[in-house]
Amino acid sequence: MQSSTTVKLVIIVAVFLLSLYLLYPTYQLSMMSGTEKEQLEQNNPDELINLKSRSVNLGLDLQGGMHVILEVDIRELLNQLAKNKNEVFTQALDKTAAEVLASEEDFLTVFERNLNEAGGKLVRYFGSRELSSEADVMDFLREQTAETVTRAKEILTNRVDEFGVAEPIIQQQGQNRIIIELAGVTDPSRVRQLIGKTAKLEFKLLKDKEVSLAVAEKIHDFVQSKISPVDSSLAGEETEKSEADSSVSLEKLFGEQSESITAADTAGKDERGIFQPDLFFLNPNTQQTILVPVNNREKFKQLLALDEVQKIIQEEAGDAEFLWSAKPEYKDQFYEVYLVNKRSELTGETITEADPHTGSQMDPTSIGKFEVSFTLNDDGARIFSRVTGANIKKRLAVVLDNQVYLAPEIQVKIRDGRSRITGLDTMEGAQDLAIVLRAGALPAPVSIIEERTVGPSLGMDSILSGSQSAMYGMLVVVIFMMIYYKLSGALADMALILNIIFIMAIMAYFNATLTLPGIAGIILTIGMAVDANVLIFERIREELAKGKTVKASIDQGYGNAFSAILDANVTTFIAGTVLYTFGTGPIKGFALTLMIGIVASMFTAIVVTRVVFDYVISKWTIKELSI
Amino acid sequence: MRFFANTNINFIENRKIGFIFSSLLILSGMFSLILHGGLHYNIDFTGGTLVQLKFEKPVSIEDIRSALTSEGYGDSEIKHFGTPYEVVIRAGLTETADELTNTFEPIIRKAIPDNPFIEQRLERVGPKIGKELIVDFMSAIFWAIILILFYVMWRFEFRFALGAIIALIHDVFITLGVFSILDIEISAPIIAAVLTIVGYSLNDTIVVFDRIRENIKVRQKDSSGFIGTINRSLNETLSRTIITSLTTLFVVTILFFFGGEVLRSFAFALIIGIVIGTYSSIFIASPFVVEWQLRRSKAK
Repeated sequence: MQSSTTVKLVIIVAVFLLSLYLLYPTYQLSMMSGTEKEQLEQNNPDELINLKSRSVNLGLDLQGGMHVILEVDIRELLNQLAKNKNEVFTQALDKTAAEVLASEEDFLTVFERNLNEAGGKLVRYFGSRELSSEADVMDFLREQTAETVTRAKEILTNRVDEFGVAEPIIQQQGQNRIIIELAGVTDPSRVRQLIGKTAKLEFKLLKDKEVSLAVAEKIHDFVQSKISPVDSSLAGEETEKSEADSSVSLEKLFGEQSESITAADTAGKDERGIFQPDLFFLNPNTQQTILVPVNNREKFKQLLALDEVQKIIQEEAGDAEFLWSAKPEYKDQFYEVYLVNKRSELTGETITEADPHTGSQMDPTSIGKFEVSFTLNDDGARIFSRVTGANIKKRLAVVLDNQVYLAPEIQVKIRDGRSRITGLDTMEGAQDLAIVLRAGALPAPVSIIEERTVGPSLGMDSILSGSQSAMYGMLVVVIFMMIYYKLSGALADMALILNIIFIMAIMAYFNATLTLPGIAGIILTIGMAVDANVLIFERIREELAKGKTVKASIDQGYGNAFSAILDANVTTFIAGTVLYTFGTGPIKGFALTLMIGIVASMFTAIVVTRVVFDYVISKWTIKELSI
Repeated sequence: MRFFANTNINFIENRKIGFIFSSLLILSGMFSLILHGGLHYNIDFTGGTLVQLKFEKPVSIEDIRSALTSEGYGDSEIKHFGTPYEVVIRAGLTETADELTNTFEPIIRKAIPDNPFIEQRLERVGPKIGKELIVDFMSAIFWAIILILFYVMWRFEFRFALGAIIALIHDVFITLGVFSILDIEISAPIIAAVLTIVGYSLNDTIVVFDRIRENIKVRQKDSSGFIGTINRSLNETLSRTIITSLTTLFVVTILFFFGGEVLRSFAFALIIGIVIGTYSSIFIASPFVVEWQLRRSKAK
């Protein structure tokens, strides 16, 4: 008996020492001041990483930072992958997008069902010689989705790494979600820009002046015809005339620029719907692009989406589309709208370098602005050189995420594959754009579906109040136990403190994250860990009351209490496991500490206290137990 | 020192009192739920955007509201958070996180120029996430109940498993009912608290059942029969039940007062849950087992 007690005692001391060893890195880190950490990071970054990987992490709610969940747009991905799209396809896609909002099913499953219900087949849109059956196509689409999400994650990782946040956490969640956690971020809107941008860079040729003009006039006529049928016939005559002398009719059609601006001011207040005069103007400088007053942006977008207008574009310009300027131009009064080829001449996947710098002093419009210049790799440069060589005197739009940043006229064949994006407002904006260009475009758009940002001061407050209440809570319990169970109570208190040390050591070993709910979990464990000892002590008291000896009472007490402690802890552990499985973020943190706490408390409350009792009894003859 | 030594309270005989009291609590909770049209979920569930600002000086809700209203954002919910220095503004689903920082904050800065503030916290939850959270919560409760039911059936008997589950559902219902009556927002941490209550209430109930299990084995030839055994078991564990609940309550009460605003409602849910859980392990779980047993033997 005595020897087994000694063995147990040795084991407990060993576990205790091991715990202290595991907690040492956490202690070291918490003792370091901010500047000391910076110094260490400069002198010996590996050492700091090593320290951090062996200590308890603080959750974002405690140290401040940004937690973002991104969802990869599978709808857009399908849209990109599909060939021969038609009404059935688009409708099924729209329906699916609406339905998955309220369902647990994944997008592809719902989409397949919707498509089949509408009489469509996946093979029709995604099939090829290799993909001839529905099941094959489905497998292919699943593969594509998985690959897209993996690639998106890689690209986001590159972006975040370049942005320079300490220890970013980037994980995939479920099928098409990516969680990004960034500690100590001070400018959330910048991060949002950085990670939310698709960064799809394309070069698209503008349609020739004559084509753009014809489309603009047809749309103008269409708008006129909707305002009043009489006007439309007049406008029709004008269009005929315009073929003879376009510059004259332009001024009649769209007015002088000075007039346009005054008209634009009133246009914003006009609520007659999208059909109104002065909705848009032809740019008198270039006569190739359309100017839309800032206030009319949404209306003109709606106009462009109309089937009739799409038909006009198709008939007059073929496979073309209108793209908007990234920002309002001409004293911020107008958006410039460009008619470009749908097909891009070159995409930005071939960028090797991208650097931010201040705008050129030579160009009055770029003074005080910032730009990003970039270089294409050899393949890109070759294509760029061919495209520019074949299209001299034409305009080439630099398009980023479907917005036109620049549309210069090609003067000479460009051989070195260099180009730039201009007109950025801040240096930070330019830096971030350079980062995303270097990191590459996301294979599909992503949207931020959840964001939680905690300021560093709130984190500090939380740590303080959390640890303070943990301490007060423990103090109250410790004092109560000593009063109620005397020396035995003090023994239980010792077990309690060991318990907390063990919990922290286990968390440090697994490099787990301590969150605010996690602290709450520990505090609750304090309360519940006492329970095991209360159960045991009550049983011992009962046995003593029956007149048994101290030793027999302790034996009996532990024996009788064991089944209750086991069952109670197992059921709570089951609840904890379920919480951990189904919970997200904060709930997971809580469940984790609760589970670790249950295991640790079983050990300290049953094994540790028992060994101490046994040891004391074996050393001294105890007539009366202090309980 | 010793509380509740050798008590002999007749819990089982007076079980109707507990049943009636619980029914009243549950009914008033349900009445409140109907009156409020369900629970008051926060943005974790409904989706939306929320920003918490900390001002240098105390700030009045009215100032912020009038500033936002004049710019057309009148439907935002504005509340103090813990202290008069801190304010939480909750906007709808249409406002993005960028809009809150880049539109709301300049408006407030302009309207209250002499009281600078910093952004403490910004949360934006999409509508899909919220729906998923409700589904996850329901699944968690469901699986917790099923798994625990099987465990208790295995370790005890079916009638005890039933009693434990009834007590558990009873606790969750009453806690949510109290939240509805006091109109407290249900957030993700509250859900964690409710699930902890599930575990805690079980803890208590199982300790009593364990005693009953033991007493049935030891005192098979006892004259007082099943009811007497259960009643004695309740009395024998009463001291432990109260002591444990008290120590846990100490800790949670301290969390309520000193744990900061973020943990306050969480701690409050736990306080209610522990009180209800302790009550149910004495007055509901075991009395229900007796009631079930009596009705079954009558039916036979």
